[in-house]
Amino acid sequence: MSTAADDTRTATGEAGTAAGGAGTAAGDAQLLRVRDLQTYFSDRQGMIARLTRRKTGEVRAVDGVSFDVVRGETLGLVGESGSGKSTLARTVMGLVPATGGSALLDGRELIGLRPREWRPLRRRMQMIFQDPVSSLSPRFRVSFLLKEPYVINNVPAEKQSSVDELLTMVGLSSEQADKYPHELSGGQARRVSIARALALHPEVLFADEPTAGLDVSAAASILNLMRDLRDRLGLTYVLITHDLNVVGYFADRIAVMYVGQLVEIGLGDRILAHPRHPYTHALLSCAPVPDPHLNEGHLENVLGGEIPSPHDPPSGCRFHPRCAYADQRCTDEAPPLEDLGDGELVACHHWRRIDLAPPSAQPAAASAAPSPAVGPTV
Amino acid sequence: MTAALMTVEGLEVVYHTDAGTLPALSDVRFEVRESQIVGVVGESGCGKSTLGAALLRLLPPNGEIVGGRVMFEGRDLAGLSAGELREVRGSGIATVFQDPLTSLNPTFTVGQQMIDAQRAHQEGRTSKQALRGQAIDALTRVGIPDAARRIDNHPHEFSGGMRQRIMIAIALLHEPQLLIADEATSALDVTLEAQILKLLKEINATHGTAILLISHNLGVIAEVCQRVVVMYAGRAVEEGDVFAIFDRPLHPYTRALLAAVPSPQHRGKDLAAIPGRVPSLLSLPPGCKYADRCDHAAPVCVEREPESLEVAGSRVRCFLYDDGVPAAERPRAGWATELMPA
Repeated sequence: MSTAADDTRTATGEAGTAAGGAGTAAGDAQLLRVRDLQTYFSDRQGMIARLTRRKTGEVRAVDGVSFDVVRGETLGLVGESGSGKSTLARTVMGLVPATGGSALLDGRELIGLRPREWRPLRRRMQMIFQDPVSSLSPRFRVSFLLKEPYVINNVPAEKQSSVDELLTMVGLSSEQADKYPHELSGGQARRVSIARALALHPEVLFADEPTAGLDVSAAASILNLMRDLRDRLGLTYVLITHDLNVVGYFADRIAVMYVGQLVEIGLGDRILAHPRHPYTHALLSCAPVPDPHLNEGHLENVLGGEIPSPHDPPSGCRFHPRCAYADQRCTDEAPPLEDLGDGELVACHHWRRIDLAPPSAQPAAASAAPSPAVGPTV
Repeated sequence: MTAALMTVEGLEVVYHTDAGTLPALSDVRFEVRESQIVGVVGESGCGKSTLGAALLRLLPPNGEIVGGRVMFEGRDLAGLSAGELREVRGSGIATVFQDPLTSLNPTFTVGQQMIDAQRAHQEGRTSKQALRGQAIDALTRVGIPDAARRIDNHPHEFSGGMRQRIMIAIALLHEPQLLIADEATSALDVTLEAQILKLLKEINATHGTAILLISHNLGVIAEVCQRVVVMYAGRAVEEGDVFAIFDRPLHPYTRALLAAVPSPQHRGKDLAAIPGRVPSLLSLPPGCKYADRCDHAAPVCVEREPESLEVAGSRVRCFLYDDGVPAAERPRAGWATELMPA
């Protein structure tokens, strides 16, 4: 049943000693080290199911994920909705209990900590939540929302940044301090969320869809701000997004997730130009590019079908029902996440054999041959 | 070139609110030709959705068309009675909205809703069996697998992408000549978005259905549209062929929008975010609505509103190209020099 997880563990476990860890370019600088992390949700939350402790079924939202984050880098986490990106981030942040596995922050184990033990560590790791307006309490003014992290963490006054300092840091004027969240625009609310996350001077910032729902111009200014903060404060980002333009612009390395598992990790430039996993290739080929010259025949090879439910994932390679290259082995046997060295990992039986043209939507591919048929199979 | 299917001329729409009468659309003009895909793009609050709703007279109760015409098959939709509008909706023009869950009734099966939609526009009595057969065909056409069985499911039993396909199937039941898709793919993942865009393109190619695609996503617009209307503060600030708009944008706003899109090519560089915000309809400036965010604004831009001009096959509202203004008072932009009047 859990062959996939076992395989992953072996592959990355060996890699951990041999090449410095899963998806790490420089092993010594790793700030976050996640190994075989699992987050299962019980299917039945009903009273009877809980009382009888009957295991009726479980949803494996995160199923054996391993990766490293190096200090100062931005790791982009991409995948379709339902792939488990947000759950993975929430599990590492301790907001959702892990079922198994390990997550080390600077060598300190995070999984299984009690709330009290979490508190000092949370200061080092903060999160910007998806919908900033609903993640800010509507009953408090911005000034209080920015002070709240200090109150919760008993930070002495002399160590606190002033509200003005925090607002300036994220490019807001001090007039915004007296406003309520509903009086802010989407972009401003996002900035307040970022300021709140930065109040405790974290080292790692998980940003869950920081540009979703924003207009292109507001999104651009949020990305500029995040870049500026990264340079000034030496922040490390884990950027969760479904927007491949954003991840291509911002992330140093990219991890691609599919139904609770990572299928490929590697340097951003390499992944965008030469994806190894057929799913990565299909995902990149789908992204619409704002250039009508690049769209000739672009939609011909669109990935068909939909992401399967993590409640009942396909056997073997979870991508096999949608994959143009799948054979019997893919149906029977889950591919391990193979470490190719230099932080490059891929989980596909056939990646050496198959010849993926550069994704059709990428500008580099404008004059290249049409990409192979990644046709609908469902 | 094909004939014009819908011609929008000087359309004016206002919203009556407690704070006063807000001009949501002002002098919007463009046309959709037969079998053409036209995109409408702009930031939120630019009037894209108001435009989509006004064309079919689906504005909220406080919205009103106060000027202009929407000519469709020789009739002005803005002046039609409720009964006449009913004939146009469905068989002439159909719409697909962003959120299929709010457009579909959760308490009825998909089949019941499709049969209702068919009956609403049908003169004589057709048997329920026949209508059901047509509905199954329609669902199959938009790629719902096992449609004969799935037709008896309720909306919540479908995924987001499938629901959007159902909405498209309902919209296509009466083979409309024009389909208005308002942010129809915005809530979907890139893979599903691409699937739906592919479906829209196929419908356009096989049935000759013209499409008005409203989207904030420039990638989506570039992907499927032949012509593009760029909206800003209720005005169509630029309208032209898709290649013209993306290769050689005329309006500073269009240029700024395109420059703000992140891509791997911008890696390591700051993105060109547009300073400021779309002005509130409550306090629109008197001159060009984009003047306060524009790099090229001259005093004339603040004083009065630019007319819609024809420049190099496109229409654009910008003083850069207006030879009615003395050259010394006109704004200037290096990139537009060739097209600027002497």
